[in-house]
Amino acid sequence: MNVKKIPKWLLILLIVIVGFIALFVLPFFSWLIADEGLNRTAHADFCAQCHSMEPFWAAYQQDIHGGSSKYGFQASCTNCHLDNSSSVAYFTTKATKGLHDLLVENFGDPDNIDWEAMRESREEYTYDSGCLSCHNNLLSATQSNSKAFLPHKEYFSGETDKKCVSCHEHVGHKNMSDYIKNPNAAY
Amino acid sequence: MISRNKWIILILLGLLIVGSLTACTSEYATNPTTQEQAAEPAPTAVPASPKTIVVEMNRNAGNLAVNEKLTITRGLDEVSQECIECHKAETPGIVNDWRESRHGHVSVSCLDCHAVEKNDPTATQHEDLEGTDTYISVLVPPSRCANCHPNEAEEFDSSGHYRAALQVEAKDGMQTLMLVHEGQNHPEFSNVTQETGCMQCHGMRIELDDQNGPTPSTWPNAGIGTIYPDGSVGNCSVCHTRHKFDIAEARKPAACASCHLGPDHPDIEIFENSKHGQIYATEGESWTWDSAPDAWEPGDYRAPTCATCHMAGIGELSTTHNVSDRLYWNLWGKRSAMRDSNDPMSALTGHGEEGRAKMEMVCESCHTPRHTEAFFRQGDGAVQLYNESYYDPAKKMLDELKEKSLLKENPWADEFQILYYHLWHHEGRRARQGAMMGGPDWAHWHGFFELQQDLYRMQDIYNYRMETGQIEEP
Repeated sequence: MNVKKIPKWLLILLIVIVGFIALFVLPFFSWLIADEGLNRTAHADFCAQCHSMEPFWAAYQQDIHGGSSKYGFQASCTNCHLDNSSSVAYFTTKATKGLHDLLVENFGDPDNIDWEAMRESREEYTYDSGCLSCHNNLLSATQSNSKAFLPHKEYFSGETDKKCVSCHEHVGHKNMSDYIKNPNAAY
Repeated sequence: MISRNKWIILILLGLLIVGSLTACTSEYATNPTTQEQAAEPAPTAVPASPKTIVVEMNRNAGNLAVNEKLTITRGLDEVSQECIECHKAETPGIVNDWRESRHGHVSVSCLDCHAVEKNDPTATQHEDLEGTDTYISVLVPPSRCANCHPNEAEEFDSSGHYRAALQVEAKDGMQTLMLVHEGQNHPEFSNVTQETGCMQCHGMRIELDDQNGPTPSTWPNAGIGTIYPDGSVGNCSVCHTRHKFDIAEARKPAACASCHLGPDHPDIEIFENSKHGQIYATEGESWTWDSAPDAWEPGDYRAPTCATCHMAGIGELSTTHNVSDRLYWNLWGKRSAMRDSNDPMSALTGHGEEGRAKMEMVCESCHTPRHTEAFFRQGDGAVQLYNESYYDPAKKMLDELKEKSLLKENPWADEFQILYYHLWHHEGRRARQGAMMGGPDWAHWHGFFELQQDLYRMQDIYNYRMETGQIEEP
């Protein structure tokens, strides 16, 4: 055998380079791609590509949370409709809810869903963790507002099982029932 | 020339001064007249100065519009400010109530309760709102109260009160009684006995007209079990009347008495007949009625009212809006049984043994355990005597007559069936409820005395029908 032995210094250099790529570069790019992917599929323009989401998109556009305010701030679909309590929870709900929606949209019968009736179970597909990740100072903010103090006191002290959307039942989508009846309703 | 002009100017100035003085004086002269006219609805007002009149007028729920502007900017949105500005003249009673309410103090105002989404089935707009984004409804369902008072609403939803209208709606016998017998099948007015009677305590399923407003055959009603278009059930303003929503009002017996009275459940009369009622009537005016929830305790009062025993956070107990929570028996059904159900639609909603334990804690806030135990021994005895010596024999006779077709088809024209109804629905309840709430005259003279009379008469009719095979006596 006449194979030239690789010098020891080169071997170490190679290990360092490969190790650096494996430990930092690849994870960085995979994080970048994943984050970009998650972000691009978080907003209304992505979600509304599905036909069945049109009424909710239209009603969302009219709502303060859809950017219809003088401040122009817009919450994304996933801010409210995914569990924002941790990255793991976010990813888990993203995967399960996303897969569910993908299946129903393509193989189910979304046109025959009674969306109006589904509003009754709104607490199952909106997450307080989402509300509170933007309204993160709500406890102290409501303490100085006598009108908001009482209901939020019961919420934050755990005296009630109600969730944000139990009381704020129309938040996020303005006049949604109109759009459910007629997705093309113009205002 | 110059001096002549000067004189003309001086004369003109003089006229101007005299003119303004005259105008001022006449204004002063006419002002009190206006105020006197304004003060007419309030004869007690002494118009010493305009300020005094304003105060007196407000106290008498007069027309706020005749006074200075009622401008409230503290914590109110602009639309609610506009509501108040008009409604102080249109419906001064409502605005006056609200001003004095706790809601008014914490800036909970018109739209917080009356605003609805545009496409809500109850959404309406009166003239001044047309073209705006604000939609309102005269109907405020308990689900809206629950936004700020979630626990009170949840407790109510587990209570017997929840069932008040739903059970009337579900019972064919009740519907026949109201429409066919009391309403006499009248083509136009058969429903009025329901509208003016039943639904004013029990409540009604609210129906909407084509303008999204409630129909006159279902509203206004002050029924505790009102079923609102959004499906929520209840009516908080029955005990905390609008628009003051007062905790003190609901703690007084009058809040319950507008329904819990009369021949079939004379609960206010029983209370008045009791020693608790005696003390309340003697000195209730001087008691403290507005202590914080859960902090209204003996010392604030010398005797309990309905709310004290059935709802208040007395001693270690917590306040509850579930009025079935501290009960052992069902005392209004045909035959009394221990409560044992989680279903508010069940006549036995509640948990008897836990309920009794809680009620004993209430009693023992003032009485000794010996006193409490002996009181319940007496009351429980009365309930069981009614069950075994009155209801059971009456039911047995009814069943036998039914089996032999010896009952009239129309129960309301059949003396035996009328007596049977009175036995459980009137006299039987008076005996049981009178005994369990310390009202001796109701337990005895209006209760057991009448019961034995009912039973003997029923036995006579039963014997005649069984012996002759005839319904009608000659």
